[in-house]
Amino acid sequence: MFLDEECILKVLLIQPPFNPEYNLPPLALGTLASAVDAAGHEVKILDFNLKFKDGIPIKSAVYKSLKYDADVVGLTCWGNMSPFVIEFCKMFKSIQPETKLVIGGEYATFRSEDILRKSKADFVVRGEGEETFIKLLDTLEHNGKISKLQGITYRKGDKIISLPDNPHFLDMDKLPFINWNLFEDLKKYDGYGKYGQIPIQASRGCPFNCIFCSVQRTWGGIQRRKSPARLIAEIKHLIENFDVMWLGFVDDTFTLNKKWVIKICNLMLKEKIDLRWKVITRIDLVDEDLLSIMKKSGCVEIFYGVESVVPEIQRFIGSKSYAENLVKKNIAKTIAAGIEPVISVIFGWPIDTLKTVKHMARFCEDVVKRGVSRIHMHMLFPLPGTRLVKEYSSAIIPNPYPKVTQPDLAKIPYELYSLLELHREYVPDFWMFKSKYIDPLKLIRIYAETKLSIIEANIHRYSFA
Amino acid sequence: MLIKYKWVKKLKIKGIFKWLKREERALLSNKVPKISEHVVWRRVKGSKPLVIALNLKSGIFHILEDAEAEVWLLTDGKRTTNQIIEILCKKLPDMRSKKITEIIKKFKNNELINLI
Repeated sequence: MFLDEECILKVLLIQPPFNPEYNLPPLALGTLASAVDAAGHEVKILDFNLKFKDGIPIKSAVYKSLKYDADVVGLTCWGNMSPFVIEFCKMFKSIQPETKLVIGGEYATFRSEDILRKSKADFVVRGEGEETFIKLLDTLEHNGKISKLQGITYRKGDKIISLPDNPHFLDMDKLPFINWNLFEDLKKYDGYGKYGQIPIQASRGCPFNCIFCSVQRTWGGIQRRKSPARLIAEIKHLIENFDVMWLGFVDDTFTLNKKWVIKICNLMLKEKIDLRWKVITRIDLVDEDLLSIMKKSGCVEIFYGVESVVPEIQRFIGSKSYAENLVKKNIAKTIAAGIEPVISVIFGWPIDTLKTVKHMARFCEDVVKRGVSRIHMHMLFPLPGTRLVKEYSSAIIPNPYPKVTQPDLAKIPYELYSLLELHREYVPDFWMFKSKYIDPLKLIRIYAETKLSIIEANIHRYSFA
Repeated sequence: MLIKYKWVKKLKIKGIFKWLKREERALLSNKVPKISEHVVWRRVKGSKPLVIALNLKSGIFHILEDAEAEVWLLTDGKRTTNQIIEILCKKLPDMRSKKITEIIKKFKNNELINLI
């Protein structure tokens, strides 16, 4: 293997199970698979999250993967996927040591040496994978020197070596269109099969360096955007080839550049693109004009990462500085424009007090009364690679009720959940930050009571609607 | 002969189960149901009794309606199962003691209450 210059590598890309309710094809794996395909290698995708809604024993996952007889197996790794990835790689390597195992993804990027040591995998591709992974495949194919690459952590004898970071590539237009045909069971994803929904990425990077967030370290602090013309071409390609009716933009701050968004919307209108779409952004980055044109061109939902409206918490976060009134006004403007606002809030800051927690609880109850039906409530957890973990590692404690405070954990099937419990240290969701000023149990009760009051408000709304 | 024997055996087993259930109900009747510490709940405002409860351990929401909500609202950690049965059978003519004990057992199985 890897000696014949003409050989095409057989690459298997695996999405580990993480949340059986997630119903869209994985964008990151789609992008990577399309880049591998465009580079001339043979690529297969195996999505264990789609295929095994009740969890999957590691042994079955390994044997299913072995059937592909791949030269290189790549696995995505976020926090709650890491126990699966570690166990999978260990077993896979014990059966077929000659296959190269590569781990990528956000979590692997920030704990690359640790995960490589624990998993027995061969490589971790850190940061954006499209260029680095292709360069790694080329190096393996031609028996080149790994040490000349960037963005790779690898094993050399007993040593783990981390090569320098790969700089973020600037031209987003160079990314290939995703070939969704690489997914064998595309229609089995409910989001696509039932509603024709596909995730899409128009930009990467965020200039707001929030203390709890790893986006800036993952994608960089400058927003790199696809040109409106390139994006529209991609959207038309999706409509023509995959009958897409819904687009979910995964960009972290979609409306950062108002002119760019307006150009996209105008082009959508000009090209008579009939689609529904949703975005994620900050609540202080919208106004009436923008919301109006977004609605006209098909936007139906905006996910606002509000996180906190308490001034001292906003100062702590470092880049949130909008008044509660502005938040409420922009929620009202969004609803008035005919777009559904979805709000994300975080409880459990290391500087939280009873007053700040109650303030957030009141805010949630208030916005529900103002017409917001969906509030994503989270408990702050220690995401590797963030400033928060660096500065407040001593305040990290086990979360006594992770299933209720981290909603995704409650959805994970028993088999997988037991695996996560066995490797708690790798799963950020099992941890929280302790504040000196409020008992964690008291905090969680207020959190839970707020959830119940939101549910109560929605019961009234929908039963009288 | 063999068939007859099987029937006798079945009847005996059924009888044992019935007896066990009766014993269980009798045992339960003197117990005091108390809402678990890891449960947060709220009565939903409205004309009909409706309770939403969240089990912090399991992360599962429970929506309790009609008889279940009535039983829940009487579960104050002081009343015994018997007292709850007495109150509810007076309040709701259709209510049966068997149904109430079943509801209390269900609460216990979902770890919403402790029996003390």
